[in-house]
Amino acid sequence: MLKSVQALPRILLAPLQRGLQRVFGADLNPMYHLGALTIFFFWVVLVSGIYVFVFFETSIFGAYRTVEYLTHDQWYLGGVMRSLHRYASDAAIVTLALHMLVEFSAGRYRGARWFSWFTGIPLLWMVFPLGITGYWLVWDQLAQYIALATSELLDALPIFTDPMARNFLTPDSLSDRFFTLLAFLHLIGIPIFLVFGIWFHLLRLSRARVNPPLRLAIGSLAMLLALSLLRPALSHAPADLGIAPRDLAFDWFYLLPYPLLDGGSPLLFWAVLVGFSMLLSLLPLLPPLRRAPPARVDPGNCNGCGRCFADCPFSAVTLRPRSDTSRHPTIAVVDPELCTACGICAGSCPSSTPFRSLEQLVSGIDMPAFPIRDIRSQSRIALDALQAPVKVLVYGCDHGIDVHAYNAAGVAAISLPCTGNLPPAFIEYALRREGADGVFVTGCQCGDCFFRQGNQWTDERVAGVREPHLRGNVDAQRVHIVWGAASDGAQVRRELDAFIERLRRMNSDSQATTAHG
Amino acid sequence: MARSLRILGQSMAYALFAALLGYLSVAPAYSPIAANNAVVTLSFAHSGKRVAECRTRSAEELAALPPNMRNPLECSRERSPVTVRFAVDGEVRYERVLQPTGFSSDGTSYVYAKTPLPAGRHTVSLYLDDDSHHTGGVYEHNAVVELRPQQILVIDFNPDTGFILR
Repeated sequence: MLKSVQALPRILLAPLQRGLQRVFGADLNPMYHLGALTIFFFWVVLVSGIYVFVFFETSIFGAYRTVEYLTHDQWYLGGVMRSLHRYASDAAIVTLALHMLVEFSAGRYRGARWFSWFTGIPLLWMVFPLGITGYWLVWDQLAQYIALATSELLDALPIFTDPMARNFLTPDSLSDRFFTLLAFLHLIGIPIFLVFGIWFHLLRLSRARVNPPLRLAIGSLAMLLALSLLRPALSHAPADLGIAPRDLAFDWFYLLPYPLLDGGSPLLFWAVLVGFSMLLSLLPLLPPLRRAPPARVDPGNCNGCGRCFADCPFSAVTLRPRSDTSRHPTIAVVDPELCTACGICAGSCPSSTPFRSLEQLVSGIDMPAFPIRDIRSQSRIALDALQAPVKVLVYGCDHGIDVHAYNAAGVAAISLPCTGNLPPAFIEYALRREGADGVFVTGCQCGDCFFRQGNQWTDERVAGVREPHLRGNVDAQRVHIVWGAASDGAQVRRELDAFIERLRRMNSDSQATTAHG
Repeated sequence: MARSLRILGQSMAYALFAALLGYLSVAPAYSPIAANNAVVTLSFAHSGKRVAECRTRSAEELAALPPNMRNPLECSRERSPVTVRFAVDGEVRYERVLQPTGFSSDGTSYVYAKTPLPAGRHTVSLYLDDDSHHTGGVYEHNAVVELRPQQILVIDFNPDTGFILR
């Protein structure tokens, strides 16, 4: 059931993801930087908001007058800043919604990752009031409508004895102090909670991407600037508590619930809001509850080198002083609550090498569900079974393309929890020891790794810029890495076919050289 | 894909995103009330009469109290609920018994209700009873109002002057 619900946004967003991939490439695809883009848009909101606040007067008449001054008399800077403030806020809602949908559809909200999901939900409760109070501060007809509707919404809760909506009955019932309170909420109160909320949201991630790639940030800012100049944000007529506003230019990104509220009960609205938030909060607990056992450290094989500590994307591994008689001063320790069982730590461990002539290969840190020795034995068995003249071993990941579909007479595929789980020595082992003609590695799209950094670490290890690296005596022509989303199966197959063809030619050339020699 | 095509594609993606933002941030327009409607808002704060009459303390009772608490009158704090009825052209639009606020039921009763009405002439009838013993304390008011489209008519109440339409 939940799988079907998850599949829906995945299917709907797939064309968008693919289209953006084609024009932006994997590095700049905005769909892989949604969280960072949201934070970037908030930076734009913050800077533009500070500028607008310099001129803003927190009073009934001053609020409207100063915003109008910025919009018309100082359109070239104040007006642009106001428009940037609005459009960046709206853009943040779009990227925030997409971020949630993408993480949900990819299943990146369960297990040890529940914390980031759970702490993201209060951010929604902060972002919307932040936007709504911003509209309120302009004190035009839209603000008048929002003020009254929001007050009626809050009055439905047993908080105030004197209905808040009574503040907006007549002009003399409204005071300047109310604007001071609102300005405090909008400028200081809610933003402070939001910053703390974002900090909590990222707390369990190592190397959290809080900034989008520079080119994407510049492009997004240029887009917002162009929009601000072409279609500046404008106010309605000033608020008049004797006239009911009509024909409001509505910001549907923030104000969508209001028309629903007009047609229903405020209590029903609160019930739906609280119910939806609770449902979102409880999603990580809904079945199927599958959680692979966390990584396990073998003290006898751990030398405390710290590579697993450096590579873990979830800060689940720490280094502690040893209490045994080992000559190594530290040992890796896994926090099972934080471990996502990606296996990246096992892939980074220098003891995870298949060349070790142990009867029972044991790594310093390993995954109980799919230990390194099983990867070695499966690789051996798979390669032994190949009959074709060109033998290719494919390593894939469980969250990318289904590599088992590539199994053929000359192709054997092994799927790992994450490609970061693959120690580079296995590539050398397959080529030099087990008779493979080539090793093909594939996994989640670059920048969209299910476990955040598995494909990046694999690229760097194979390129020799990250430890453990692929040794230089391996013929780079016989190793091919292609990243692709689960839906890119056909494209990756074409890459695989081309790689096999290249290997065939290389083998022929090699045989010819041997014959002539 | 060629670099120029990629730049063109990226520009189009940004333009589409900008178009989405530019459109949905102001459109489609929304009207909370129908074109020819006005809004009547009934809202006031009023304390009902005390449930029990104040009693004069005897000299002995006063002497038994600490000097700073010798108030000659002993009054219960509880106040009567306030019954409010509001009708337009004979049709009751709002009718409630408003309980006094506070843990001791000694606070003010509040009403806030609004109803849309077609613009034009209407007869407004208002009724308020703030005495649970029904010994007087009833306020009634009838008025003919001419409402303009989009007008907000506020009905307030003051125990000295009764209902106020503004």
